[in-house]
Amino acid sequence: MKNYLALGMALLLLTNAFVLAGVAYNRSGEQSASLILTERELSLPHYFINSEKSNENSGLSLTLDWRIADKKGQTRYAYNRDIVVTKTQLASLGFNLPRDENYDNDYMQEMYWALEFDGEIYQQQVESVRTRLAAAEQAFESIASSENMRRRDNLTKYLYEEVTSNSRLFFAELSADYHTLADKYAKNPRYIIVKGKVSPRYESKHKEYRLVLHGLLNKNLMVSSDLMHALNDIIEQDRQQFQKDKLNGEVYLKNLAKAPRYSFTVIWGKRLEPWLDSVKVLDPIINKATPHDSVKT
Amino acid sequence: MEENITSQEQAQAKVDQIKSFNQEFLSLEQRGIVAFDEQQKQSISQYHIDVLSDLTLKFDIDQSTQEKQLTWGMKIASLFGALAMAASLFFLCYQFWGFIQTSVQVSVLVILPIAFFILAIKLSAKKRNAYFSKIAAMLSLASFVLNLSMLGQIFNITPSPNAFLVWSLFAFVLAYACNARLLLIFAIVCFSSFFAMKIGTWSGVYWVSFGNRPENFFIPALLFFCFPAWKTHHKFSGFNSIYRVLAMIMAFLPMLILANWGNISYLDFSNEMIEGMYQVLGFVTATFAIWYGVKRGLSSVITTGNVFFILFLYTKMFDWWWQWMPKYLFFFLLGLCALLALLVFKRIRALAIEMNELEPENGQNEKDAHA
Repeated sequence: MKNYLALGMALLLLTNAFVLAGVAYNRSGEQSASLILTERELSLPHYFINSEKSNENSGLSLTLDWRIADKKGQTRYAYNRDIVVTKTQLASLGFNLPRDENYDNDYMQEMYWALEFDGEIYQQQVESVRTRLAAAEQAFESIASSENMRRRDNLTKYLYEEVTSNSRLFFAELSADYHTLADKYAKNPRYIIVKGKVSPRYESKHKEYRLVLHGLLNKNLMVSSDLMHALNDIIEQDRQQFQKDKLNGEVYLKNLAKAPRYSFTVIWGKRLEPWLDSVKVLDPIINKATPHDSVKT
Repeated sequence: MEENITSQEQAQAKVDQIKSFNQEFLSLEQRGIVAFDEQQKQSISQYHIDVLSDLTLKFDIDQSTQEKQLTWGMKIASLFGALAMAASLFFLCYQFWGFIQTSVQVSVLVILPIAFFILAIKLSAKKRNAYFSKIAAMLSLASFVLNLSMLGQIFNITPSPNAFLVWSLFAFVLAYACNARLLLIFAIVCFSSFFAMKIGTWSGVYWVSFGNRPENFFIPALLFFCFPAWKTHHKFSGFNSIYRVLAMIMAFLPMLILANWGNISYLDFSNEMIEGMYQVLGFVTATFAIWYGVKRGLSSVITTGNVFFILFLYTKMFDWWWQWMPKYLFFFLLGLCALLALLVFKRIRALAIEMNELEPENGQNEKDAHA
């Protein structure tokens, strides 16, 4: 029995020591990147606002919201998670070509991604929506059809969301090798390098290869109890709004397009594992924009 | 007590043996086949009383049918108790997590599995506390799972298959320390998953998608099937069967899946060819398992082999006949096949009785206990 005791204790203690040493190593020395992200990129999870469900889980994790630039003709924010690539690009990333278009997950690989925050890609995105809106307004002026009106209204709302609440963290590039991205982006404060999951796919309809970006490996950031106090009022406010909307039979998600109310300093360590370092409550009045403003700017 | 009885099951077997002996002796005496004098009867009876009181002191044994029924109730209660307590531990942590400082969170996560582990070991030292030691062991494992998964969440650690390795190793330690079969099952499943994840990773599959390639389970299945032959478990009741049955499930289920969906195989042949190959392999392996079980006297291997042989057969029949055959005829044929299988098994059984080889799974343990 003593052998089992020694073996079990050694296993428990060594495992914990190894895990905690890894955490200490990640957070020691020079950090790999640091960004101040707002509610736009770190939104509150919906389950936490729905107080009925959150009663059983007091821990709060914020999810890092990243996105890719719009595809042609898009009129609203869509969950795009794939990019078109060539056969050569796929091969250079180390993928074998998928033999079955319906089956891509088993080719999934961990890769390094470069994400750009509030940079050129975001500016191009806003500009692109603005151009699409201008074209839609022109089309509506020429032919005042309901279809043209719907398109114009969607784009007006979309532009408002783009300048107010949508995430500004955009996927920029990926590589199987960390140093390839680090050499290119490490000195640029707008970029972070993270680990994510990717798989190739063949789209027979368009006869093209695509890379499906499945998500980040470290996407959830737990809010520690000492940072949590800053969010208490905001959470309470959202919960009340949720209950009010529920009583009125409205959908809570309708109210989500709002100016960011908090920001966090997020740090990525040596192992590219991020953590929340500090929090700041933002003044929603200062950050407030209206659909009308966004159209004018 | 001169006999070397080390496990609860051996002790219970001894008690049952004494009970059967007394019943048979009474019957023989009533028919006048044997007749012991009072002195001999006294010494046998005294010997049995000594053995029973010794076993009662050391183990939690049942001396009557009613006690046995109650023990079953206790086993079920302890299983549910252990699972419910583990679930409660998870929800308790989640409920109050957000209000606790990170340093306290980490301390609680590290200390909980250690505390339950020490408790489990302490309780298992006394055989009479076997049920409570198993509950404590289950809680220890649950809190260790919580420990690593919560540390992962708190510090945003990159997920890794290695967690399954340490969970399985810890579950093995607990299973052997507390003679807990449920924990052995957990350990085998976790270790096989880890092994399959590693094989998957080496073959270019992302570790989370290890289940997409069922062939990843063949090597751990083979290892676990051979393990009881290499190391016997005299002190641990049912462990040999668990190793063999789980290993067979881990080999046959992938075969069954690949026999129907060849496109998820590593093999670079046409889907039809892969499916056909695994169908043949399934039948051959199931037949081999039945033969091996009969030869070695392993009832659990025979049963598992039978179950999968029938599953392979019925799946094939479904493929061949379901679409074009009237349903009454299809089920009639299934019934006929079952009758045929019954005749075959009857023949095998007769053969086994002739060979006098079919023994219970833990025959060795029982032999030891009866020696």
